[in-house]
Amino acid sequence: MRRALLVAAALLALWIAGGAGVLAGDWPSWRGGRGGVSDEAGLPERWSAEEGVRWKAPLPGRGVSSPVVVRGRAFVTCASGPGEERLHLVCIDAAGGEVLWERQLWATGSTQCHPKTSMAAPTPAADPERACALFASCDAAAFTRDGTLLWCRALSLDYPDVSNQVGMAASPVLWRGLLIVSLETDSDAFVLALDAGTGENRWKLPREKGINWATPVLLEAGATAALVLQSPRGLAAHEPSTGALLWRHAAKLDSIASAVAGEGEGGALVLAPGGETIALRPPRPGGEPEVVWRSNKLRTSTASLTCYGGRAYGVNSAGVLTCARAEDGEVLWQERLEGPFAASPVAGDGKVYCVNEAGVAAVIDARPDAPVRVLATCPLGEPVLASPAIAGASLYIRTERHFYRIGGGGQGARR
Amino acid sequence: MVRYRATVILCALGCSSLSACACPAGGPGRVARLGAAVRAVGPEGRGHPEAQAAVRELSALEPEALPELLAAMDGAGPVALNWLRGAADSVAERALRGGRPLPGAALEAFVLERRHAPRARRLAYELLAKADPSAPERLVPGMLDDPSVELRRDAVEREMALAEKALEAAGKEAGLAAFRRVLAAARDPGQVDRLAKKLESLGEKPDLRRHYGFVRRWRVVGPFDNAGQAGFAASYSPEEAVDFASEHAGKIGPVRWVEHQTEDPSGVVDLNALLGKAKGVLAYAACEVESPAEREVHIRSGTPNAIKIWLNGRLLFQRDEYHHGMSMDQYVVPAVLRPGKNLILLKVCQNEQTEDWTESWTFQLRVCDPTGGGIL
Repeated sequence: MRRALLVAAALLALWIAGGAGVLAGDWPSWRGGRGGVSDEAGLPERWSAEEGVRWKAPLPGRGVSSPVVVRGRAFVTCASGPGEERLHLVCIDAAGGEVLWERQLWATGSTQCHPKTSMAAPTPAADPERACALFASCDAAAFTRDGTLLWCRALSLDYPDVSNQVGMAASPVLWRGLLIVSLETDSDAFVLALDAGTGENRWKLPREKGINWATPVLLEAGATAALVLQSPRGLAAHEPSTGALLWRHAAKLDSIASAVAGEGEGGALVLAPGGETIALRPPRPGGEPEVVWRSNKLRTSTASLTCYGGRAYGVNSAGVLTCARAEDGEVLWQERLEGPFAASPVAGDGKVYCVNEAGVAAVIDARPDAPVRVLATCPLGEPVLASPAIAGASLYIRTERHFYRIGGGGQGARR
Repeated sequence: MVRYRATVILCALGCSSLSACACPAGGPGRVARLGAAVRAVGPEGRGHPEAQAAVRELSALEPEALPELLAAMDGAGPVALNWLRGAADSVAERALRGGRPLPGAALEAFVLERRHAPRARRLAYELLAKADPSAPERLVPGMLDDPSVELRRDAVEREMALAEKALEAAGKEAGLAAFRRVLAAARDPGQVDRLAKKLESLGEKPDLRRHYGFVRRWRVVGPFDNAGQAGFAASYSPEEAVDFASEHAGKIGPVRWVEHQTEDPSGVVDLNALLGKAKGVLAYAACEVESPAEREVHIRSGTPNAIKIWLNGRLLFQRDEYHHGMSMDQYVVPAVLRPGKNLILLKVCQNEQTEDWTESWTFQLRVCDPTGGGIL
């Protein structure tokens, strides 16, 4: 069974997306493009604002987007100004924490949002050639690794009805030279694929109108790829190079917590949170997806699920972390953590990291035979709403005002 | 000093001579030509290949070309402004990282020339502050009436501190006069709130409705049917012709225009209170705005309901969105008033959600200059 899971995990690693040229230890997009799971070893187990911090860099504005890390460069977005009309993309040297460059845009769309979120809500996406940023004002831009502007788009001017006053948040997906953005609101809704090199439209997929913040999940195995879109009406998988529909599954799903790729005994699964979390086996070409299990016990709130080591982890609005077997959804244990949580759990090196809104991380021992579940609680002393990134044997955590690299050796804070 | 003045004059003229003499831009007219390629970007990525090539060249300019690059922002739309900003950021950062000075005098001249794009001037100001940390102290005092809202905000902040000192040093009347003067210039709502509270603490209640230009007097007709939210797209008779004496077929019978004057300090009109609490309905609201001449303005509105806005019969704005919050200046729409009477018509739609927090059927609207100062 353990061997079968390892094989499944290896297949999953091939199946879920990885951008061309992105190294195995990189974290190129929201939740690393692989559901918040890393194969890095030597990840930190204990830290605080004073201990275990390799560097700490101030940020030019606030934000709830996650950092990404590609080939030694970390990218993070911020927003500043009284109305968050200044949009920033900051490139930081992952080794030392120095700001290599910072670029700004002026917001061209509405900057109104719920006070808890920000114009810097969608996580950027990067590959070895470029870093792409999307903001809640529907401004998108791409820069070379040295900070030269490649293009920018004002999507709210191109598509004036695409706006919501709560704030956009779905993160873009960067795949084979396409930057795929999901913009779904009450007054207009679509998924748009831009040429990541030029910013020009490649395809545009109309979606049923309705406010939705779920980030698409990209599945890839060999020559087959599927972009799975989640909305309160269900899942729809599309061929990412054209937008053509591959399959659809109707279900009442979340509009915030997003689907994640997982693995079970029988192969790869898509776990989608909702009133009931469903585990779906994607079909072979031309087939229909199969519902493998449903669970009303594996609940989420803002945070998405994490599937790691054959187990699915979800933290609900009360701060209860539930661990369920991925292959059948059976709940294995529950642990009440100090919440609430906006950030999604991330996992690697036998640990699951759950960072609450106060910036306190619960480090969970994910080994099946773990004698104690919570290994440590690690405070940073600042609010954290963004999911961490994992790269270079480190956690990268963006707080309200700072960017931390935790672990990875070379202690010493940059302030 | 003479040389400094000459540079200032050249740059105030838009730097057209600078590239010809010093060639930091690589040749006469080059920046203007590249800037034009960037300003030509269109919707949905049109013109991107040309703009991308131009920005690549512009990003490699010498720092002395920054004022000319910033001048290329004049007349640029919001998208082109960001393209050009990307190039300017690259040029400035490379210079600062390489220990090369930014052209302080030329940047200062650019900031002081108010005909340049407000955002370009603000960027020039921020670059200048890096090159010459004493520049803000020198320039900010003259920015209280600046067309750049961001520059004006800094000046207002400074003047608020000075008004406080005047109050302490010279007493209430001097303080009141100083705070009144600052409030007249203030555009940032946070600053306006602070100033209003200060004046109130001194016994004077400022008329913020007038300061912001909120419309108080409306004519309203409704309710019309919006079942299934279909009314947003439907065209009822008030959209065909606005005749305040006319009768219309409403959702529950004939309806007529009624006059309404809101007493809300932020100009909020409560349609539930005016027409009766209902769901699946919509109403039209109209007001007339006098303008002595053709004038560029902003029509700024806020509502938790779906809304359409027409000016003189032309649809200016629409948003089919319900109950995701309401705030001042939620929707900012540039418009041009014609001389004489101008008719603003709104369609404000209520949906059929049943939760308590979906009861609101309200709107507010103000007409202001592009900085946000009320003109009514």
